[in-house]
Amino acid sequence: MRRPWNWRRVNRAVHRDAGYLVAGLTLVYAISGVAVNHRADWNPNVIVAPETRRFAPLPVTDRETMAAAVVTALSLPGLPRSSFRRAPERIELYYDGWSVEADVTAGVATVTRPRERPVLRESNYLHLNEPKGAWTWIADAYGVLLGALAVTGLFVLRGHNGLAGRGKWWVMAGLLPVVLFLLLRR
Amino acid sequence: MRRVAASLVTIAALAASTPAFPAETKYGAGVGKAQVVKISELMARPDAYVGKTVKVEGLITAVCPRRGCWMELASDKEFQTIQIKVDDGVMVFPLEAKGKVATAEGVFTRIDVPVERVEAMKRHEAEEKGVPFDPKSVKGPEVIYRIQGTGAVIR
Repeated sequence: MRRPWNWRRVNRAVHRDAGYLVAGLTLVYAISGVAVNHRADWNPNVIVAPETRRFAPLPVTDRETMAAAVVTALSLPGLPRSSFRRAPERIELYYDGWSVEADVTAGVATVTRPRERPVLRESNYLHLNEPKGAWTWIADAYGVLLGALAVTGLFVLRGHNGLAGRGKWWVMAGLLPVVLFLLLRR
Repeated sequence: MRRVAASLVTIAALAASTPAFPAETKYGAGVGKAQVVKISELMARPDAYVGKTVKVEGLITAVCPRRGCWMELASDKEFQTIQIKVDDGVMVFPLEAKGKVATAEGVFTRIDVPVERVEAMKRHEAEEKGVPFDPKSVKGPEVIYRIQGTGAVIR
């Protein structure tokens, strides 16, 4: 026998299944959200740890000769893809994904090999919609589902714990920092 | 049920995988068909270009190590570079772009920097590069010319 239409039952079902559906991506966005919030303090995608190396000082000549001399002095794996001189004695060598900055007069070089942060790199890639294209639509659908999750969540319970009871205070508590922040900062 | 779960995991893994750096990547609005202006020409007669949209090309010698919000292009003249600055998050230049060639477009801008701001900038630059700040590098107020980028293509 068919059960009569009950909007609360449908609401609960939508809330439950939408919750399962967006759980994974919500975690991805949550982790990436915290990571990119602090971009001023760190690079959320890669770890940059420059390594200082020393070598016997070399003469200042032309760019190609200096590049070859630094490669030999530091036993680097072959000539770089490209190079640049920032000052007569300072040469930079660029390899695939890493680089070397050397001061040939001082005999000091900095080797920088950025390493991707696993999980975070992929999370930020999706969160910041770097792939664009199809991902834009997936992210939009996720946004709609998240909205549905929020709205249906308001009406899951009735009575003392429902929206008419303590629920309304929690909703207001959640909105309060947003409103206060906007009022005080604008 | 197991098959559905396995399919979902596979789709998620594919979606989350970051592709390798492609041969040519467009950032922001990309670049138009205007002729490339030599960076040495911009730096030789900067006031003639201030406020104008210019297109430049050069080897990427540095990228903002934290936010990817700027990159520096080598000039055709030795020891000279120009910075392409973009608003945070609008375009993110990847660190691995260093050593590749970029064509960038944007508005050529002049910035008059007072001495106290020069010190703060140099301090910040040193911090970003992970090297100690040298107070001797501050020699007074500076004029900076840079390009407020609207788009770029890196290859």
